[in-house]
Amino acid sequence: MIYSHKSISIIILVLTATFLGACKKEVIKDPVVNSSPIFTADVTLGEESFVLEAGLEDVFMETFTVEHNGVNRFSGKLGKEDIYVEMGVYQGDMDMDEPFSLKNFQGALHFVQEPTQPLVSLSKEDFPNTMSIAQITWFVDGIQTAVNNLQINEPGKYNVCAEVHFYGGDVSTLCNELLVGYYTNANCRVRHFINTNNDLKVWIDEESSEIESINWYLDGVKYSENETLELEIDQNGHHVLAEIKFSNGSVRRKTILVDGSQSGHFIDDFSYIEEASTNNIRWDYGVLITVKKNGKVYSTLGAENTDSNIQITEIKYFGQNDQGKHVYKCEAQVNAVVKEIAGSETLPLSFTTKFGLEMN
Amino acid sequence: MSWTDKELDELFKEAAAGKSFEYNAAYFKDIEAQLPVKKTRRKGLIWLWGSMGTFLVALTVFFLVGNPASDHSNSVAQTTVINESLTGQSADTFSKANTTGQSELRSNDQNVSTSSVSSPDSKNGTLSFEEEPLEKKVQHFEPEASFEKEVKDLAINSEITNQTIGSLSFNRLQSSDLIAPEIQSTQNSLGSFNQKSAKLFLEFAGGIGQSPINSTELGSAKTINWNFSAGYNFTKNRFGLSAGAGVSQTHFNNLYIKERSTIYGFGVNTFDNHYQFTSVFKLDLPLNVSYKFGSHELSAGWNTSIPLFTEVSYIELKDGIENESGKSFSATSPYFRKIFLEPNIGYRFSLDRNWSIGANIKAQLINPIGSERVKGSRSNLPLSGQITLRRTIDLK
Repeated sequence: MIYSHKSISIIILVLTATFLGACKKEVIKDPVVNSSPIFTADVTLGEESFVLEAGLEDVFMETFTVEHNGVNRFSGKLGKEDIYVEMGVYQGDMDMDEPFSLKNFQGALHFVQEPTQPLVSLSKEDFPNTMSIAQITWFVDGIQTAVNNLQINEPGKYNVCAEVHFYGGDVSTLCNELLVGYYTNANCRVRHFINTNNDLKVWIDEESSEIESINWYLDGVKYSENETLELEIDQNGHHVLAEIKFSNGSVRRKTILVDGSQSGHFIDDFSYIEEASTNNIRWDYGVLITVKKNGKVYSTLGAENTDSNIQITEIKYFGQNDQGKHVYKCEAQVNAVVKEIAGSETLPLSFTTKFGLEMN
Repeated sequence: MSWTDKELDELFKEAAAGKSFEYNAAYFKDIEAQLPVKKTRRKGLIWLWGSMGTFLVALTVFFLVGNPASDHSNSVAQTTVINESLTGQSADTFSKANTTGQSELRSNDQNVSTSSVSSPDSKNGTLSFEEEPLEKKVQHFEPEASFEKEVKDLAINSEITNQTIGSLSFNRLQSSDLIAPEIQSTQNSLGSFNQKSAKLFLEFAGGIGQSPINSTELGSAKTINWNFSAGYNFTKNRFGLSAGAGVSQTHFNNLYIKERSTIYGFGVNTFDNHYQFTSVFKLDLPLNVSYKFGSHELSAGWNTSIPLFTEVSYIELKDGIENESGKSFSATSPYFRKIFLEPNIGYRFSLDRNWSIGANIKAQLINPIGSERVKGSRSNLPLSGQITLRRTIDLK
């Protein structure tokens, strides 16, 4: 029998097509590999030692962000209801344009200390036109806090408003952001002058760092980007906002109230006072640890932790939590002192941990 | 005055004399850093696929392009004829006959023939072929359409007469076509001394086997498999070596893979994955050696298989709740190994020159299920048996 080689060729072509057709395939995902607990803490509190491992004995690694006085504390809580270690790191460099990320943080962490004295004190005598001011009502984050004399005792980022009652019945309000107890990478003061022709000149003074740009807003509307704001104003009061961008990345916003009637009913920038608040305390990248054991809750905040230390040996991105927030895994060694919140017991605390911290 | 080439050479030679050029390793490092990075990812698999592709393409090109015999009108036909007489002697006598005589028969329109089949001696029933040139005879022959059939019949019945050779409208007449099957069989069994050949084969096989995994819940499992392969069979004397490529499907009646994974993170999650594999399609690369005696042939070899895709149903439970499920007919599965290794032994019986049937037994040297966390007992060296049907094609 004579065999057709074309038939053979067709068979081979079919085989080839089969192989090629097999190239594009759905892929069954790889088998999930067993893992060991990722988040752990080997804790010694006083004389007692215990181990917490997320996934074992109902221990869970919960991550969250606590907003404390307007500042984020990126936190995690490893444990369960009756026993846990909670650790949080306060945000730092809050005046910077770039968002904070602990992953890129190169400095040293420290424990936040409880202030022993007011961080900020403001009174009507601090204003140059105090003679025209009958009373100042202070609002902090929208809540009336004080009359005439304002004191801020805790670090935070506050929106402070001064409702100034001038003699003669005029009432004006000026709000500014105050970073209390946190470091600012740049600061300055906003000065103004109005001549007899009602020509207004506003400028930046006492800048601590090189200014890159300024945006001037008059009553909420952008007016210019010049080094100084110069214009003729009417007889009314006007809010002037200076948005100052410094070369080091710091961005500050400062507002003043100018008085076109030239009757002294202006309100100067009072946010300069924040600088003094960091003389004794700074909570940037400060760590707060809370431990619950045997029904008692202990915290590093009330204890003396000047000589304590926390060493972060590694920070790695871990993934997203159930809320879709990014979580970093921090490996740390902690030696600190904790004080019972509801009592006075003080105990040494040390632990090595792989801890989850939520970040923005 | 201008410089001559020789003078220029001398000038450069003198200038270069006494200068030393130090080797600086930093230069080499710089150059090395600029060299393209060699990618080594999956080199083995690329080579394997490349080899397979090259083989298939070469084979295809060979058949499509390299075979001029498909043109029947003006081709050259070669035929090997026996030039010694075959009497009622024993098969041994036949097998030792000189079979080297060749006749080159060309199409009639060229009117050339270098040799020819001679007339037999019909008196004593012997089949003889004369070596004398018959150009003259052939040149005067007229075409006859029934030539091929007649020659065959004559050869089979050993009753070749003074039939004339007409137009050679066929082109693939071979010596084997001139020999009766019973004679061929004898020749095959005894006359293979010092013979070499390379023949294409096509083989279909089917059978049953043991499952690589036996589920404790569902009892023992079986497999049904078939494969189709093509390749070359090289023979020398009684020994043969065959190599080829093919595709196969192994159907599982009861292959379940269940895995439980415990994943720690913020807490712990348990994943239960259930897979029911219906079949796996593989690329086969068989390599066999054989020994032939008479119509019988024993073979042993090695089949390397690469799973191409699987037919599978799956469901994933996360903490006891269905998380994902589906069915796929063409999925690659990480649960199977990347490669299967199957030693095999076989027996084949020749039905005639071209067809043979046989049987073989294969063992999975490495259990094809690669996952270490499969529930169920693994079969050690799971066996499978196949019945084979092979068609051999002489490419001469």
